[in-house]
Amino acid sequence: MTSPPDLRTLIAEVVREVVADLAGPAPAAAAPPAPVTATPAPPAGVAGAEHVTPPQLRERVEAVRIADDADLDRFARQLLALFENPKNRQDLRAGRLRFRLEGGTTSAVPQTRPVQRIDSGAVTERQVKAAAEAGRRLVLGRRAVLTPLARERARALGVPIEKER
Amino acid sequence: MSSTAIGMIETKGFVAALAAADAMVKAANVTITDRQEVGDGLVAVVISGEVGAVKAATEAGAETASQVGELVSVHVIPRPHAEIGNHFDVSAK
Repeated sequence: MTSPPDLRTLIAEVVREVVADLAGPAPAAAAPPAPVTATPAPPAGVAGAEHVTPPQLRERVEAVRIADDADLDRFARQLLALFENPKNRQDLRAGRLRFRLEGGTTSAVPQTRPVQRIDSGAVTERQVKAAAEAGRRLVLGRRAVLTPLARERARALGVPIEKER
Repeated sequence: MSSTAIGMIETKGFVAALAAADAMVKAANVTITDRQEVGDGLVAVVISGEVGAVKAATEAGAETASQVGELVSVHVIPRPHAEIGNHFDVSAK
């Protein structure tokens, strides 16, 4: 049994904590263009909410799988739903809630490798092997020709090959 | 034979094609089955043999062709269908 004054102090405490959490540490790098000053009014029925999250940095990384249009649509809707919630909105803006592409991230790997460019002539197995040892990825010009053996070796060694059109 | 393959090298210019053909037959146990000149300087040499031999031969031939002249394309077809022999001069049966 809580008397009205107790209830009032409890609500005040909760509001203070939520507001402190929302106006918490702003990211230095992200620099949101317009700081959100809206202090959401607490719902009336949160008096018993004991599990108010502490105002600390909670970084969340959610894995997202986008393989086709349907996945993309689902993700966009999920993002909209997250945006409805002011707390999630703050997290998203501040970069505390981030997303990671799950599966099929082969394109992310080659970007980190240095590029070895071959403009013309045959691209042989030997060159692929050398690129694999040097940890490079191959970029072939329009007139470069990849031999079948080199293609097989590149697949076996995991050397990314990009052909320009 | 199921392990038979055909390999093709196309070059721009006769000399590169000849050099590639020579390099191919020297590199592995393959035979030259055809030579096609389609005009505009494009010359294609077709070889046949075991799959591994054909792959090794085209590798050597492609390298030589690109050193001597201009290499246009290289391709290997492992176990070609018998039907293509009816319409193309590739005797890889």
